[in-house]
Amino acid sequence: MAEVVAAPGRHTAVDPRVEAKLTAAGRLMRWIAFGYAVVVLLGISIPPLRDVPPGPSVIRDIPAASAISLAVLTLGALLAGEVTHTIGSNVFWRRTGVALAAGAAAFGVLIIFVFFSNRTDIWGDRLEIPAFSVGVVLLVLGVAVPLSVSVIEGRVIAGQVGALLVFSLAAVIYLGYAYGDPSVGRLFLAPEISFQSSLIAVLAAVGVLLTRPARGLLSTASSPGSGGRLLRWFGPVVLFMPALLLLITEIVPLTDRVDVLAFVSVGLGLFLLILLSFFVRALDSTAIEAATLAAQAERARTGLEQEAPVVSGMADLFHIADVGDIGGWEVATRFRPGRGTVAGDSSAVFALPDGALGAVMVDLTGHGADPAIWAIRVRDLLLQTLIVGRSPMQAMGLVEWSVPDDVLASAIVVRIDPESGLVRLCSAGHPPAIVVKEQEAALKEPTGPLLYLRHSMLYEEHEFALAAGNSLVLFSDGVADVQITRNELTEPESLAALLAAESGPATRAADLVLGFADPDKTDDQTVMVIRRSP
Amino acid sequence: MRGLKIHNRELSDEWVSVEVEGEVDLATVKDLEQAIESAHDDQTGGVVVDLTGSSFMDSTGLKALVMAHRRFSAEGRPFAIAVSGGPVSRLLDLSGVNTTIQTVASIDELTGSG
Repeated sequence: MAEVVAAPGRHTAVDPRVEAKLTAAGRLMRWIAFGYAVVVLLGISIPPLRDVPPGPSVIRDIPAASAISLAVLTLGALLAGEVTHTIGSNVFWRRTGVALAAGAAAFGVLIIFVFFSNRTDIWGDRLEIPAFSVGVVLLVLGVAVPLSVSVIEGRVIAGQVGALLVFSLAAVIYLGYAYGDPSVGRLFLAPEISFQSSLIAVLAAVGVLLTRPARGLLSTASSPGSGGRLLRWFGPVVLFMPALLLLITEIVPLTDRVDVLAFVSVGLGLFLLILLSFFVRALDSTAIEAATLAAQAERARTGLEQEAPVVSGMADLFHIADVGDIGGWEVATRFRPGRGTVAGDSSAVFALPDGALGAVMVDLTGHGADPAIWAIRVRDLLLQTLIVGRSPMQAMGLVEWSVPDDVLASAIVVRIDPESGLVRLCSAGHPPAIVVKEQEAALKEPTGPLLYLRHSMLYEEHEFALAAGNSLVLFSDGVADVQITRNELTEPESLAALLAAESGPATRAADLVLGFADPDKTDDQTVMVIRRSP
Repeated sequence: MRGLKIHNRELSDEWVSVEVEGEVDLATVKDLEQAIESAHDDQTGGVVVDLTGSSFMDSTGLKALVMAHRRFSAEGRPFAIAVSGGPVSRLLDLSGVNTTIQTVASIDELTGSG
């Protein structure tokens, strides 16, 4: 029994149940962050939060500018993250959310600029100047929000890492807060920072991190491959390294600039996490690709084993040539099955009850027994419709309704009056037929779209006459796909040019066409030549 | 062997492009289907398959486009193809698919830029 190879899929995925829970947690965090930002902005007093410890002297009430900007930021994160749950014009609301977040980021840049340039005149009242840490939070989260809702995986990872950075920054602030008059986090505490703004930053950061939990870092970490295991093992270690470094520098002070050291160490830890994430993604995608290809190969082999006897047994049914005794006409057909598989070509050329010559060629997209069976079914329906006296275009319009939803078929239907040589030809998205007349060959383009619409398409017909010595050549797209060749002709046109020089019997033209086709193609190749004898 | 490169890009809030370079055939059509699937799942707007960089496509690629168009239409979401001349354009003409799927010469026509 063949070994079953499991294909984990092209992309790793978070368990849907876990994803749903994480998404709900992220949404809750964003709502709480926004709600608390509004509470802080409006100065509403909440008992458990009103009586927080005073902390170091540099920690004061939140400046109004900080409160407003944090409220804008959290509202932006809320709207951008709720895109799939907003009724009505969700695009508008997402755009609004992204714009608000971007505005907050711009304001963060201004704060940082003011902090480093000491341009206090911009605010007028120095007490209104937001803390440096608020500027960093606004800048990083303001950029992280649009990145987190992007469709590009790398941007999502960058956005999530930005949220983690804010989370770590808030942790540094808390450390400083807990120490009372700390060296740690001094850079972030000056000139003012509040307990409230730190809390808002933490909530918003978690909310942004969990905006799309099935993408980015968590998706990578949930990979079943060795890369996912690597990230699960070493990701937390990388993230905790800065905290460990901070602890050591606090216990054994090596420098009075540990705040800068803390900032650098946090940044370094997150940078290493980014590198680790991309490394893991590359590692996993290679392994997943290999497993997927192995699974596809196994499925193909199993499919061939199961289908080969069935399909080979049907081979005689694919192409029928039963023209009886129609004097003055030659018919030649050729068929070469696709290499390594059976595709969906089927054809028939038949003497109709009214004495006319009917020809049908069908090509269904796909490979294997199913399309082959459907090709026969569609061909026979077309043929039967011709037999009951319908014209080619009527036959096409009627049979279109019989083509199943998941099938795409091209077809060509021909009725020839043997006496007059009048040809009526209807083509539904089939490669052009070629009419060869006195060393000239002309293409007969399709007269309607492929059979797949069920729209009661009004197909049209070509009507022309074949004189003695003239030929009609039909072929499937396996013979001549539309492809530009070196002489800038499409393949059907190249084939037509070749046939124009051929004035021999139908069998010779059929061999010529099959010789033109690439024998290594995976598609079926069917040729039919109907020639009025000279 | 002529391979296929596919890149999904967010053009605007309304459109994501699936940009195809190379040949779409039986060997590579799965990549195209997965890229369209990914674009479908990642946002709620429309998808345009940019085939201006594709040198060849066979009927399997055509089927992938038709099936994707059906799915988007059923959900009331736009689906379009960008193609400018060459064999792929010729195939769309011959098959009549360009009469049912919105076809543009470049993705700029959809986004209104350029």
